Amino acid sequence: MSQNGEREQWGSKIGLILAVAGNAVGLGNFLRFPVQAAQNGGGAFMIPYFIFFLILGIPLMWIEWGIGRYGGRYNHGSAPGMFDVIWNNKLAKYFGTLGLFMSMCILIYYTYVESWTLGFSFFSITKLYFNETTAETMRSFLYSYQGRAIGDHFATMWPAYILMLITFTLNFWVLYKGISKGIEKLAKIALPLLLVFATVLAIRIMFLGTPDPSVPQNSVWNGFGFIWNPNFSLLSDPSIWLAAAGQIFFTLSVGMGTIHAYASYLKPKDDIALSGLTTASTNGFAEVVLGAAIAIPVGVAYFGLHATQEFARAGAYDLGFVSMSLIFQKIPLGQYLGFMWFLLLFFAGITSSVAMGQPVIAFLEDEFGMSRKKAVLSIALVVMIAVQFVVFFQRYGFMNEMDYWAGTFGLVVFALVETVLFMWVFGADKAWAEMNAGGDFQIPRIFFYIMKFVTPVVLFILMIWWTVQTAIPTFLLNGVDPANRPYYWGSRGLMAAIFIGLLFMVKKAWSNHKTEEDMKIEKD
Amino acid sequence: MGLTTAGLIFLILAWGSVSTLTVYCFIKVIKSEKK
Repeated sequence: MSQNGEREQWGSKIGLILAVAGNAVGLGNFLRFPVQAAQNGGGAFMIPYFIFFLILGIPLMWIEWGIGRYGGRYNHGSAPGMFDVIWNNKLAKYFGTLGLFMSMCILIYYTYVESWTLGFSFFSITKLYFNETTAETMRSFLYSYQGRAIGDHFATMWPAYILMLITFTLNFWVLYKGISKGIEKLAKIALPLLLVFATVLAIRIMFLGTPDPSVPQNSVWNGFGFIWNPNFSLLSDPSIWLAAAGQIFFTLSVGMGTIHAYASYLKPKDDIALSGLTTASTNGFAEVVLGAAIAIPVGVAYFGLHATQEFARAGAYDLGFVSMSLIFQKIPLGQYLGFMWFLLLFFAGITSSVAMGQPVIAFLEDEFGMSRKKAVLSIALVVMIAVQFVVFFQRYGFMNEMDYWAGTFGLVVFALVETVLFMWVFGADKAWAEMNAGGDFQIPRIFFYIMKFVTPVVLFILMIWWTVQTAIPTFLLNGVDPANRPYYWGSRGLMAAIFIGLLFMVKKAWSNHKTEEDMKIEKD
Repeated sequence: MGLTTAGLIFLILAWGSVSTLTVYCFIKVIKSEKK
């Protein structure tokens, strides 16, 4: 526990819900979801999407809120301590290390990605990229800014580096201010603003109609048709169902230890049933309503279906940064709309990244008795050192490797571990009672069986599928330029160092606890 | 291509269900906080 023996508390329930929803709402809501929907059957994709929302998303939310609040009762704000109290086994705390590792690794590269959105909001309002009128030159602008390619636009990486420093400082300043005065305050400002900006953009885009009447097929409604017109024949393809499960999994930011950390600051009888459902539905609103109404419809309206599909295939950054930056040059008041778009992405990013910093800070506070200041400074130092590799080796694939193992594959592993521990080892009846305690409503009984049987099975299938489909080829570095392979191994080395360091710290913390307990017994 | 009738139905159902659930949850949260 922390030095003064007291843990912080959330200022209000709505503040906590906004903080957890802010953690969930990220770049994926506005960039990944519409691409996934369009590529996997359009409107028909929503059938598996909603099914997995019910059997995977909402149950995992409640499980993580439940584990978090239960751990907080024993003054544990991170997964090692939480797993230790739900499973009386020496290994439990080491499984919990995954919850520190995942969030910390993602924080390292996410801060950098987040800084691009801050940079582009500035470039929009100042019209810095407004002369880049083709996809090639816009892409060159982005790559030059990121330091991935030498271009005419940025002679050095200093602008990107300075913006990374600003983003980094903002993140750790919020974390330093604490739960109520930092994270909660940020969520209360950033999430509503994000939703307002996204609503303004979505409404503006809906009224764009057909920007060039001589090309009637390039219209906003064709864009909506691209996302929503159902293709039922694809529903018989299992990969569509797994894509929907994957999207639900990513979008709710489950499986990384952040929700546990936030929920640990609840009181034992505070509600989690309604809070968990509210955060999941808020994230769904940001994704299904707002996320689907911006990047793809406006892309189809200006570039046509084929070109938008090409942007989508090239990835979220091409769609979010290249395509959208080109469009803002064509829309009246585009500089302001561009500013809003990138700032909303920045808000989506920072509310997620501060959540990623919290588990490891809570770990230092709760398990080593560090002051918040000391804990934040220690983590800031480690992240600052690690982020240098991401910034300077990004062009060689260093970040992609971290994103795959920590930000993709690792999440499903951690989610499976926590579900099995909570619903099977801790016990489904105890877990059910814990999740319902203090609830503003009683969770429908059917979710007891879903959480116990369906959710772990779906997670297991997802893990096996991803292992075969992507983990093995990624591990074998299939398709990676041989010249870049040392950087991929360097990325793995950094992740291994972080994981081993965290394992060692967990061991040390519990050894300290044991010594303290022995001394207390002797004293008594 | 445009937005077909089936596409429009899916859009309305998806937007309607998610928006209704979100608004319902927030109303309940606000009510419970006032207690």
